[in-house]
Amino acid sequence: MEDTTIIRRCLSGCVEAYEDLVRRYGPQIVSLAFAMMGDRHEAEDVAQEAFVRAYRGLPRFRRKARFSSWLYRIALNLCRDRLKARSRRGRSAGEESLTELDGGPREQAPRRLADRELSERMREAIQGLPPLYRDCFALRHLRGLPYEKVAEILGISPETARVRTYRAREMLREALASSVDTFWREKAAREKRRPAEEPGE
Amino acid sequence: MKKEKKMLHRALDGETSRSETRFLRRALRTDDRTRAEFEALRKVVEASGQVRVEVSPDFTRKVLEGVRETTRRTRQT
Repeated sequence: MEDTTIIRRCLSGCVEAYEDLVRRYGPQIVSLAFAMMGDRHEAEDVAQEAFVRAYRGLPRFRRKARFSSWLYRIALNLCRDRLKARSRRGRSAGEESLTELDGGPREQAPRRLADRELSERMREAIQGLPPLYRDCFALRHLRGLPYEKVAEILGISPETARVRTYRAREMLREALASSVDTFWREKAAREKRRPAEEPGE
Repeated sequence: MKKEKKMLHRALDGETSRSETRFLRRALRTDDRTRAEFEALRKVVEASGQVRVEVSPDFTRKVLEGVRETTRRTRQT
């Protein structure tokens, strides 16, 4: 069912219809918020609030815009507000322990330490980016959106979205130089070892 | 941002023209600095794929509870 059809049903008072939109965009919004906030619980909290705000705002939603773009924008604004509040409180980002990341050991097989460390450092580095660059990088690389869609969500031109993403990449390259090199070295070594370790495959 | 640098970024996005691709291929073969820079950027982009999270199973239920609650409150006021 198309987003616009679901929205029409929601506006006619059918709250249950909204479930389809939550299932469709929930993982994307939570992942985006996680990349921005660095804390899984806070990410889900932000995503929930974004969905509730979007629902409340449906009567004002312009049908010409895409629901997903509008929702991304709401979530990004919430992330920005929370990050501002967090920096006022002086709380450091990424307080979650490594074992809790990515669903925790019960939900997923534990990932290698090098992968988890890189993931952790990447998130910290992303959070350290200036907000304008961070938003573009997160939408482009963590959500895999084309520049045109990034631009639509942020209300900027595609060229500005490109340049901001490029700058974010440069900053991350500086911030992550040693971690990224270690990760790729270890990954290459693992792949080299694999045939000898797993002869049956 | 310099033109050459922009080209490296466009290449990461697969957006270079045919002539730019040719130019870049040559530069990557002959210029160590360009090659190192391109590799470093490529690794950053690929490493960003490490940041991911699973949504908890009760996420949708919690959102719908929130929506119902907000609808109830709006009706009361």
